[in-house]
Amino acid sequence: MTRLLMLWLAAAGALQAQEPSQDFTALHAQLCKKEKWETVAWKTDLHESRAAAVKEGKPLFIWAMDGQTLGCT
Amino acid sequence: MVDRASTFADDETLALLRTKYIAFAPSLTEILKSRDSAGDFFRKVVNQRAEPRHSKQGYYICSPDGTLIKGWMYPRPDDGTMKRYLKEALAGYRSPKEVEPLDQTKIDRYANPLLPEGAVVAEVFTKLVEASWQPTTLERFSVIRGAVGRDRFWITKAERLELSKGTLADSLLERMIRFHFVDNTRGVPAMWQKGDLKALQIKTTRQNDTLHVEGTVRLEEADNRRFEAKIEGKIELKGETLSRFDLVVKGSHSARRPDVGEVPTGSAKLAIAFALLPPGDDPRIPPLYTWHGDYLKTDKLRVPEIRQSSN
Repeated sequence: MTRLLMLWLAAAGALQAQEPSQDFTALHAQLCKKEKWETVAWKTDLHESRAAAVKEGKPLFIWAMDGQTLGCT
Repeated sequence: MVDRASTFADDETLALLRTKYIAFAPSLTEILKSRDSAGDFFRKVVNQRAEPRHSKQGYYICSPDGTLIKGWMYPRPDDGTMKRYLKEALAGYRSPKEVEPLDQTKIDRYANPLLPEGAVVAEVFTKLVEASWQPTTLERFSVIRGAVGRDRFWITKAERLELSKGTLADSLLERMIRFHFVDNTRGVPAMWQKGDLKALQIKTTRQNDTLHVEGTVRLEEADNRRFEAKIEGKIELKGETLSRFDLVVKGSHSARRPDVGEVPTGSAKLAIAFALLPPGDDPRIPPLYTWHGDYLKTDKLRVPEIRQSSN
């Protein structure tokens, strides 16, 4: 019985060692969050944007920055 | 762009963009140089804006025929100008009945790099989680000091297949370190260069379909940046399909030269997280450094050599 318990504890310890640390889990969740600006259906292709604007009778809003506006920095 | 979180914080502004506009967000540098009809159209629109002269960055409202309705860049952070302009432009907008078609047979791949066949896209999030700064009264500085940097990371088909065998390929590590272990929270930083990688230890443990990653990295650029960090990750595969790519890198970061605007005083804690792009998000948004042409070339940091000597 004691031996079984020891084996179980060893296995549980090994499994625990494989789990990500609390810092990892918390940081990953803290950083990988979508922001409010991502609730807009931003298009990245000009032809698709222009075709949609014509079809839906809407103006185009262009957000242009150095780097990829939606992806980088 | 670093203050996009504050620029698009207003709910009514976001609702206007979602319902009354077609929102288009290109990479300015690339589309301005793009030698195709999309580049021609874009230049036609932005060149109608008179001010500011020094940059074409900013916001434009136009008709799909290319007629500029409004174009502006300042103020940043936004003071309500965005919402006011969105409403004013809508009030007088008449959709053109006919729009001249554009030639779509030629696409300049410099401005529109293609994701390699079989590659997977991850998102990269960067944040200074601890930092000391010089006192400032500038609101813009206060905003961007807390900003989250974003980028995309490509995992090639060959690297994905290596992951399915329980191995983190040297090429994957090099691309990740060289282009993404950077502080991009306040602008576009320089990538790491040959000789900057000083130490790299990576240990992977496989448990069924899960690969656990632990490691350390040390990067030093002469007379400037230093980043020493721990790496921890959990990667899951179902066969050869990557279903999870969660990685966190955290450590001390310092820089002497402010190549991304102001730098924190002393050493800061920089955290970088990777996660697979959620389904539905546009995979065509490329990593920043694809413009460089070397993004998929991974022979600069001597990863195999440093990895072997550090272990």
